[in-house]
Amino acid sequence: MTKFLLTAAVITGLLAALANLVRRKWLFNILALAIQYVCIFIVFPKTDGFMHALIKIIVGLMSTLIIYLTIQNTGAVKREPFEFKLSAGELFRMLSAVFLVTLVVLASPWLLKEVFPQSNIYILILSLGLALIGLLQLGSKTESLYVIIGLLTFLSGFELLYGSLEFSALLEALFAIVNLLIAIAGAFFIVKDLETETP
Amino acid sequence: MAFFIVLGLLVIASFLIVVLQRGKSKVGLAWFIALVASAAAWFVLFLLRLFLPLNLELLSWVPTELFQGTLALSLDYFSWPYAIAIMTLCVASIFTETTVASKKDSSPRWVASLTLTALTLVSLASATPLTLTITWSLIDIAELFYRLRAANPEKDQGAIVRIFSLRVFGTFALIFATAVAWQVQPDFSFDQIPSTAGLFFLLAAGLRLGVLPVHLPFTQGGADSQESKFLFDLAPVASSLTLIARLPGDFLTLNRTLLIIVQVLSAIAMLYGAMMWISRKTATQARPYWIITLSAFALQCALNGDPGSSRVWGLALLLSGGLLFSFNPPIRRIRFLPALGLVGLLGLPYTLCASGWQGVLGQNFGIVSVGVLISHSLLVLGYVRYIAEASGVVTGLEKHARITFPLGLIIIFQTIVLLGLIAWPGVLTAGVWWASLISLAITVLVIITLRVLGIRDLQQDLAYKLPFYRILSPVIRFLRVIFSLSWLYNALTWIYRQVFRLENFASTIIEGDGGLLWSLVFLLIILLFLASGVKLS
Amino acid sequence: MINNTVIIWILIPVALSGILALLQRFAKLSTAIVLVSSALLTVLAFILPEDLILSIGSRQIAFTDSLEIFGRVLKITKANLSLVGGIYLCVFLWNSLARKLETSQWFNALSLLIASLWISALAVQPFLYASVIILLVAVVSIPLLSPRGSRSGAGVLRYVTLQAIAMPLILLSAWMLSDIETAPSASALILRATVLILGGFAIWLALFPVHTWLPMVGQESHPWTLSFLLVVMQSSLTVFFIYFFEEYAWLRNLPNIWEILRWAGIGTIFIASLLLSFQNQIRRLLAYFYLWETGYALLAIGLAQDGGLHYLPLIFMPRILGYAGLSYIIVKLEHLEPDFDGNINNLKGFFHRYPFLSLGLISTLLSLSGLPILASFPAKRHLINLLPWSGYGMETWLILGFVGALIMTFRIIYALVSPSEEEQAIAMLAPQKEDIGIAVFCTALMLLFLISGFFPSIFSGLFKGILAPFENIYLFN
Repeated sequence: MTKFLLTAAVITGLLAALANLVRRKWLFNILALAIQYVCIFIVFPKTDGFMHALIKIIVGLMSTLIIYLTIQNTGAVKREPFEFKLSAGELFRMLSAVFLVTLVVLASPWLLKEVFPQSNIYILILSLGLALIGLLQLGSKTESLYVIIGLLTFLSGFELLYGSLEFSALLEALFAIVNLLIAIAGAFFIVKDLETETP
Repeated sequence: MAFFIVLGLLVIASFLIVVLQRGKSKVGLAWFIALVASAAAWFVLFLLRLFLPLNLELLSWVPTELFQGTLALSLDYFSWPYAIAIMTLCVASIFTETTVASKKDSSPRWVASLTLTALTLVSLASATPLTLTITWSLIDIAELFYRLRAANPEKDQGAIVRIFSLRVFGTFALIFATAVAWQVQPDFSFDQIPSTAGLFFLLAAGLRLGVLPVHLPFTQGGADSQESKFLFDLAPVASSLTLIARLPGDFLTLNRTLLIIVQVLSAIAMLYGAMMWISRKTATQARPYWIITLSAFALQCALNGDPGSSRVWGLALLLSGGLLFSFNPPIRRIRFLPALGLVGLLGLPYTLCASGWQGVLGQNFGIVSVGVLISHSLLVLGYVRYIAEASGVVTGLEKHARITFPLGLIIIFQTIVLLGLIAWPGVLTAGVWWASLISLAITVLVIITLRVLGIRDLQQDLAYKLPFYRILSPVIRFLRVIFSLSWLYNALTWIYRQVFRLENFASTIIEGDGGLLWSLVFLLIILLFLASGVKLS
Repeated sequence: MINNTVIIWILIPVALSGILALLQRFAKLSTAIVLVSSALLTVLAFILPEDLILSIGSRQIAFTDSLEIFGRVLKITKANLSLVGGIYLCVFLWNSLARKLETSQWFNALSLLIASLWISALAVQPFLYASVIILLVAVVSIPLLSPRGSRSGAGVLRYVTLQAIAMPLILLSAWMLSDIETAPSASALILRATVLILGGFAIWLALFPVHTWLPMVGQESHPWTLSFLLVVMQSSLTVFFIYFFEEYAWLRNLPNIWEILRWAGIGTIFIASLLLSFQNQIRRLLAYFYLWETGYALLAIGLAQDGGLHYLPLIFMPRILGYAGLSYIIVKLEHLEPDFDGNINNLKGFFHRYPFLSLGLISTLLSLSGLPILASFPAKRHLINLLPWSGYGMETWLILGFVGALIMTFRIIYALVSPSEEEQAIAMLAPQKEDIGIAVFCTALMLLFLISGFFPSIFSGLFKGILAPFENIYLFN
């Protein structure tokens, strides 16, 4: 059961990140980001109790909420009807991400054995997958909202990996501050861009 | 200490003139102050000949173990003759510039002359590379701001910046030459330059002099230029020449290929400079080529292992050149005065240049030696030509200038004579007497040939009266292009433009949408490359 | 309680920055507070004696040097105080003109916060945790680099992104290092950790090819703000980099590591110089000069065994002067000439119209380029003389590195002194109104360049303590 849950969380988390990379629909993206954090909570190691995983999901959802509320209040990004058809760019991003995730899945057993023996295969696949998809998003998009989502995805992936290797309260606190500040920075950018657009 | 009196006289005089000219303009008094101060400084400097060598430490950067930098001056048989030459030119310029005093207030120029002379004296008396580096920069910056202030905004600026940039490159070459020597001996003085670094110091001096590779780090006066700025062109040269004179003699132990390259470049500069010197319209226009050619002579001396001999060619550059260039306006009736400058150039036995032949020709007479003799003849020919073409009349001079103008010229001539006797022990010698005779013979032959062909004006008559001119002309033009290295500079400009385009293209990509990923991929490649360099035990 | 170095130089400034954030609309009050506090912090950092006991009359105040937060220790000893003082000196200098130069209204608060964050990055133990704080600095800098009223630039986003990418590299290396300590022969671990550390630092130091955010931010952001961030970042990061070599014997004893650092330095100098020589936008100069200086800092670290580290205290003040001068002059030129688009070729005629700013700009560029008699020369000379001039490899690239920077400088001088085509009329060449502030700033700047150039020990003496924490780096097994 646990294995099934973990596998489902890994797949869902990666799909959510993939959705963020491919599509540009604000509600969809915010929802996917929230799902990502829930999946991270499920996969996060709980050997020292639930507290650390709980911090992660709270901070993650708070960050998502900050961005959501900003968009909601400013109406910065308009709702558009959802289309299933993929454009060429979207298809390219999706294929790149699928390729990277495949690589991660293939390399994970070796990485687990040689580099990160303290971790486990689920954490490794989800964390590296998220980090790489985040990186791809950072490299392929320049709009501030999507860069911020990319940053949060990348950092969440890394935090998950690092959480399986070592724990430090100070570091966790710093991670939390960084995540929240990045979300605030995202909100700041959204408001700022809107101000400069409206004369 | 007495050296500071010389500097003090010059600086205080310029300060006094500035203060004096703040109120009601008193040009006469300003000129008198400039003259008295410079003459007194000249006299004191001459007296210092009795006390050579003089060493003065100015400042040591602390902590010494960190900086190992001493600012010190040294007046010896290498720097003193140049110091006297520059001081003489300063006095002469103040004497001769009175010819144009009536047109506008010349006092700013006298102030500039006195200040520049003081700075140059410090520069050529520099005992350590650090001192020389600093004084070169001081001179360059002072000169830049002075020239920019005085320049005509419509045409001169480009030349001024070009000159400044070339000089700064020369200064940096000196810094790098010092670094090479530093490996052998940190914080050395000029009399301790390691032979391994000698060639690099020569490169630095050559770059600043416009010889290595040939370029024009000096202003080219227009054809109608009435302003006599010879001191501003000649003074910065002096310290580079002093540096050459102080180099060690054993270059040949160094990188042979580099030595040959330098020798070829120097020979090209010498021949090109001499050709251009004789073919310009006026002496003012030809001045940069005079400097380049004689600087190349000085360089040849160093390359031949006898840098001490370079002094005589340097002094000829400054004094004989100064005599010719200060002859402005060129008054026909007194043209015998600049002609006396030939005494300092011909190199006849027991004159100033006699002791320089051995150095410039080298131990073995070769192809470069032939080039030297031809270049020397062309220099003499040009010198004679510019004097012979003097066409001004004495009535064009101010009344007082009819006395001061010739006096300025005489001062330079008498310095040539004096230095030929006492500049340093052993200066008075017969030298390589046959070299001067050959050069003189070539000169006389050419003059006779030109007379026979009826060529009186080189600029106008040559095309009509010289046989085979149509064949010779493109050959000369071709040689001129080759020797001027303009093809090299054009090629470098082309490469610069291509790299510029490439850089623009790369920037657009790397700063564009996918730029981040490109950057990271590049970084990864570099890191993997470096990782292979970290050989683990 | 308050006589703790961590509280004084980190927590109090953080608290103050919070208060200043609330007072941001009261420009004079907020500036006064930040100036007084930064001046006090600077002076105290320099006057505090070795034993951390300050005597005021008969009273003696003993300072403790560490504080525990979340189970980890923050520590500021006397050995760290030179850099701390230097950073707060920058806060003081930049804030003294910030409001006049119309920077963001958050500048007072955030500059103080950023300074304290950098200091905490250097004070936190284990020191590798600093990587998260450095990311924090980047995020906090966003309102300064991209203030409200302007569109969010791609450069700022790229800056934050790259800092975020660097952080995991350093943290992962930290985790690997704990294994290396116990298994010194673990060569694979060493190799991985080395690559991670070098990669992380390459991104932090904005080395080629991850330097792209620098010119982009240079183009988008206020030059005065950017110069502050860069000067503090460069000084802190270089010292932080040395900590790695100080702490880890395996790292400093790696074969070829010093040579790699030297080559990285030379390469950075050359590339920065190349990019400088082709540059047309005046705002980007600051970015490329930053890169150029980073190259020298790396070269200095690469030459540590020969005494190259002395470059860091020597360059501290010249760098501050150079960055401050360049950014001030760019801001002023843009204010005085609203039509000026930042293209260097459009500086024509400025020498006659703005003589003080032009002279200031020329001397700043010459000083940054290392011209003798100006501020940077003693430091540059120190490094050039340390380089092994045995062959024609490294030195040739270094020479080319100088050539590019000089070409840029001469191009600007030429543009400044050339008359503009449409402004041939003499009336237009007459000097324009440069206020007394500009005259005073530029004159003081040029004087300071000369003083630093002639008497380098004056300022380098003040910052020589920067190297005090480092003893092991000179040791080689």
